[in-house]
Amino acid sequence: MLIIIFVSSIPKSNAASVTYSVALNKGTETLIVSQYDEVGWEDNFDNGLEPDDWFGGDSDEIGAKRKITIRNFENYKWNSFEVLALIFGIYESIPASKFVYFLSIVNKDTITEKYPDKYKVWESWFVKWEFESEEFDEEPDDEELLIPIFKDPKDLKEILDLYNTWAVDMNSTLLMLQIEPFPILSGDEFLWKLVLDGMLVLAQPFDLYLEEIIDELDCEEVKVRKNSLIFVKEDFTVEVIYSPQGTQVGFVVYDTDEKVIYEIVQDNTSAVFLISLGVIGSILGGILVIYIRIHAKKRKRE
Amino acid sequence: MKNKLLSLIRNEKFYDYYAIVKPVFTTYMFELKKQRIKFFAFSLVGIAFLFLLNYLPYLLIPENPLPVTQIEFFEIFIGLSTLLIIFGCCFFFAPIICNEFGKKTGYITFPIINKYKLIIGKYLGALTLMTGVLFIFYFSLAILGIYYYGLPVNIRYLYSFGICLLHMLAVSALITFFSSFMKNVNITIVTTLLLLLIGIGIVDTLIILYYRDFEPIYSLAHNRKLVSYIMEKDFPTTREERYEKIEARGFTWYNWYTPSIEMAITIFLTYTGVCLALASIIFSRRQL
Repeated sequence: MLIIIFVSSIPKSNAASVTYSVALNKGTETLIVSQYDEVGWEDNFDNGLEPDDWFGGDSDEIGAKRKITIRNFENYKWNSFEVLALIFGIYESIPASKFVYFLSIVNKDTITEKYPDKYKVWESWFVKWEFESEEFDEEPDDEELLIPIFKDPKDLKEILDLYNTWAVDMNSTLLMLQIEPFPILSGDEFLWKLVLDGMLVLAQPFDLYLEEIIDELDCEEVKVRKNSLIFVKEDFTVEVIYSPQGTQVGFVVYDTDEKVIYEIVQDNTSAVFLISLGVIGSILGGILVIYIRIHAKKRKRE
Repeated sequence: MKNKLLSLIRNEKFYDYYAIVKPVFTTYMFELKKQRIKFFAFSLVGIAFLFLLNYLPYLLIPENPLPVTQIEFFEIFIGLSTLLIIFGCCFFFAPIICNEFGKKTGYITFPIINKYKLIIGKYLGALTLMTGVLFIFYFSLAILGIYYYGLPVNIRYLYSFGICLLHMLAVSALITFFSSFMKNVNITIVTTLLLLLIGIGIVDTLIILYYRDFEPIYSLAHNRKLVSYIMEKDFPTTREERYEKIEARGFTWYNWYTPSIEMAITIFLTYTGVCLALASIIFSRRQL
């Protein structure tokens, strides 16, 4: 009895928090539009939405490819200005005629003074070619694409709160300037935006990382399945597949009958080529070794 | 088929050609076997260069950024081929002529095999091996380019390989020329290495300092810049685009980025022709 009382009085220690690590490898990933059922898509999305509204370029053509090269990644601390500008794209929707004025009131100094928090990230530097049905141009479409991988998934909730607070603060000023106000985002909407913009890169272990993100953002429409995110929307379901490096390599849209109406998968042509070359090289190397040994044995006999 | 071959061999004209080609071919095959260890050594050195300077730094240092495009990646590392050409050509081509005189084997061989055919066979053998070394280097770099950036490999990479081969041809001819009058292999190697690595650079610097807007078209060091520059998307078409005027401390000089393509090819072929012609003249007059 005394032992039970003693044990129950010991305070429960918190479960050890997971340590996440980045899994990126430098190199290039190519994605290809493998399936697009135009009729099925139009039946499902009667609001005129098309795949290129989500992904840009020629993403509404089967066989169109997109390429991303991972250049490097390093430890960094992002400030509020970088979060708002690079993740939420607060400058992108401002019309050119009002941009200078907007910049005078919304800039690094004004934002970091009001919102001084910093967020620990692995800052990864990408080069991107948009979806292209013909051969890729030599020059990329975006040479300096910065994507942060948050070391603590809880920070995603913090930056969403930061954005919503800033938007509420800013919208009255924007309305006076006759600029469209910034939308207030829910957790589901924020995660969907990150996925569509390609700004969600995962840290290992991926399933725990995704679970923690969904918990923190209070997502109701999203669930995790191994290394995939499943978005269950009203008219469609989307499965977003992540590679062993944590980058987005697959995007599958299902209609209400669970039929695939749009699919983007990873293009493995280069990997297949290198593996084939390796196999052929090994076979030739083996033949050469055998030939040299037979030749050496013949010489010995002579 | 057999009758056809027999009639061909009995044909006097064919037999004449056969008599000319066979000694060259025999010497060529002998040279391939004799220098095969150098071939393997230089091929491994080339691959080692790429692994240590081109793969490990990106693997071990996450902050070290990859170049933006595949072509930029090739441009940065193709300069290693210059070192491979200089050192490889010195070791492959230096012994071609001077070895026969240094080891006094010339007077034994020459009455049986024509001395020119011997040297041609040796030269072609060394050229084949050196081409193989460069091919392995370019192939390995292309594999790394595909590994980091995917297919396809830009066609300008092949142009660079072509210019690299011409550069190698010119350097090999120059070294063969030195081999034709030098006494032994070691002196030939040391002299040509010093000339190619240091001597040419000093001469170019002095000429550029005295004649500031003069393009050193005679220089192998200037012309070999085309090996990497030919991969530029917008290759400069006018003379003014091929240099940069630098002014510092009241002094002006021109920094030449690249020769024109036509000029570089002409200079490489001229070097090859002139050096080989001089080598054959000196060789024919050289006494044991």
